[in-house]
Amino acid sequence: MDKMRVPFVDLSRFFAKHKTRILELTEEVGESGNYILGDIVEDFENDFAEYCGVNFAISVGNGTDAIALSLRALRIGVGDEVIIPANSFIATAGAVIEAGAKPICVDVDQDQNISLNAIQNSLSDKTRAIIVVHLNGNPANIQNIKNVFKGSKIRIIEDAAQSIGATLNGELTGSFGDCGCFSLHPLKNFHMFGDAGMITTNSGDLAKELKILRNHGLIDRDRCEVFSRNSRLDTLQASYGKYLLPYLDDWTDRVIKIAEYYNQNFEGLFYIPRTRDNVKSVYHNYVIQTPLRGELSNFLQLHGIDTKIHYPIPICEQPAWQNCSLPTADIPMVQRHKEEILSLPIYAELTDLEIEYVVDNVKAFYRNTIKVRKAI
Amino acid sequence: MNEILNFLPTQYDRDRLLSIKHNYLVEQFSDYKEILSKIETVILNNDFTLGREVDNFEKSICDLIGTKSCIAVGSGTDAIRLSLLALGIKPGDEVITTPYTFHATIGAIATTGAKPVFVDCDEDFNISTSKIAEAITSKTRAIVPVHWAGRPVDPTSLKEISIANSIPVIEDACHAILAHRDNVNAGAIGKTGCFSLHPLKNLNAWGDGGFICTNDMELDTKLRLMRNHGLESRDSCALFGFNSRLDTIQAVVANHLLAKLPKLTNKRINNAHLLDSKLKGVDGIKIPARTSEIHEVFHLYCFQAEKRDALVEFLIENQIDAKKHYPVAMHLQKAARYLGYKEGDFPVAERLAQNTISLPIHEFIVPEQIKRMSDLIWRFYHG
Repeated sequence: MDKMRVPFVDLSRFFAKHKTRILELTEEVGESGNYILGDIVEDFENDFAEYCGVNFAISVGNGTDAIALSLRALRIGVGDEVIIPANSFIATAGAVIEAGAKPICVDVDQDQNISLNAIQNSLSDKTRAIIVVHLNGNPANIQNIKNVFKGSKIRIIEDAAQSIGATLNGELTGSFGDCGCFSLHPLKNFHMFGDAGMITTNSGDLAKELKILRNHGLIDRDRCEVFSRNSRLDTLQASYGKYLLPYLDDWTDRVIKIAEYYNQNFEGLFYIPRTRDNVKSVYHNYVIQTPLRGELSNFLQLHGIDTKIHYPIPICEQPAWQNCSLPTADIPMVQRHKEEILSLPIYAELTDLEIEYVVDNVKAFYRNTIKVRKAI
Repeated sequence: MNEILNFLPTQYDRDRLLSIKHNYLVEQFSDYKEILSKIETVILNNDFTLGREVDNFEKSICDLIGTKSCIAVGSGTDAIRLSLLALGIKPGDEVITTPYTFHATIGAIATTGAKPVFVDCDEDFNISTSKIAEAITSKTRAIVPVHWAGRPVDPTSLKEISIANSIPVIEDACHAILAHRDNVNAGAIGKTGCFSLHPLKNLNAWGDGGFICTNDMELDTKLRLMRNHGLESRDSCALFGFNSRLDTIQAVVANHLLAKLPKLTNKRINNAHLLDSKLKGVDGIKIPARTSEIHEVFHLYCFQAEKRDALVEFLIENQIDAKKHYPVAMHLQKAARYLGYKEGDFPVAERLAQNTISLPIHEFIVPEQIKRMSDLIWRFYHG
């Protein structure tokens, strides 16, 4: 097996395929002198809403702002508690803090998604929202969570930053909660070429409010309804998004095929992220769980294969959490995961040869390890 | 959604048809080929978040403004908001500012949870520094002056008030890049100077962007963390922050324009001075006094005008993109109701909101157009 180099991500491969059109669009928008909001942004929002099967999509500056503005629009703030999974990206907690509310970290299930049990054990009379993260593109059991909290004052916000196109019982993530928040950052499976975010909702009132909040609280050029922030999706980025969205399903199909191939080959070696029935995961990350994580990662690195850990430090163990004197959390599953999870390269532009190379090396590692263990 | 709130771009549709316009972006970026090839490089290098172009931009700004540090952020609003948050400003605190400004100044203050406290302005559109002291209470934590339209607030008075009361100044310098007064640059007066790169600013990009200038290196460290989720490394979060970064692509555009900034600023100044001289003697208008120690950069050309609304209408009928920046003072906005102000609280700002007109003055305005504008104004008042 000749040594290859398999980067964890390589956006230049993606760009190479779309370069001509992306540069044309850059030129068109640059030439137009129309750089803030406008028809292009609105068209992209409409396409995005249609893709996600919701009534409205409201573009914002980034995924963090999507959550922070959603919380504000849902009137969640000082004195309120918001439940989040302890293994999400730190921005989930940052957005809650920005809203003035208190984040409450809870444990997850074996599949790394928020645990309904853990949510129920963390409820208080201050709980006002649950942020359900569809981690790694694998839909959480949001229907169950929704059923439990139906009719209560507790709002459900989906963090669908990693799960665009993923479905549960045929329905798309981002369409279950009061609203769905997306990051379209360059490292997401559907992305622009800079910071970008989107909020999906079926509520016309919420959509209207969010459009006001993202743009200084203005209802027209001169009248300010509520003092707010500036968090808009650049027209330039929206032009890329509108062009790229029709390609998303093809990339997703390819990524799912790679994941299925990994699954087939890794069966029995370690915990693999197999999808449940009635679920379509889009594998934003392909995360395995193994007690030999460190050795495997080193072995793969030696053979030119990049891996990553998403994420090695749970939110409630971050220095920032401790500096804010936030409560500790009982998170045995997240604790175990942080020692065992490993993300393997997965993106549509991986070549068949590279995929085979990853599989061969992972298998070789286990053959060698088991041989050595038996010998000793 | 039928009720479209994306009004910002459509408001310019009509203006595009006028012959003398505020919006000059098409002309300004007519040499975009060079920008395009640089953007291509950025994309090919996978350099989408921060990176070299942003570093270079920050360094150039330090040289330009003369501060030790520059931190590029997502917008001018965020520049002010993050500055205030970095100083620890929180709910219960008070922040002094002017009611005669764009909504973003107040939004930046209000979204920290602090209470905006207004101080009336002077005839030159800027906060009246002599009235700041009486608005200071035990809760005042910052003063946010706005260098309106590119005319700097008096740095000496600001510094005196700041030192005497131990209250930091956060400058809203979004209109005022390269402006200076008594040899102090706008953006280098206070604890931080906040700038916008919004498309309609003197230095602009192809989308939202902003930056913060400061000489306080502790604040610099904090702001760099705050703009990027508080991350001190990929995995470790030192403080809960935000996502407020200048896109690398936008940094390319800003860097390109930065080289031209001194020249285009001079054109604005020359245009303004020409218009000043042509309008001399018109009855019914009041132009702020120009002095040699006040180096204005004319983001807008503003003056007070009798029968303002009729004048604006008359000029628009004659193909001039006259505007009102802005017709309702901040304390009288619906958003400000919770602060309990009423009409009459800030008579100068209220009068300015009713009287002020702004004319296009950017680098693509030529002397014939200036003459046309002044002729029309003469005709309006003198027949």
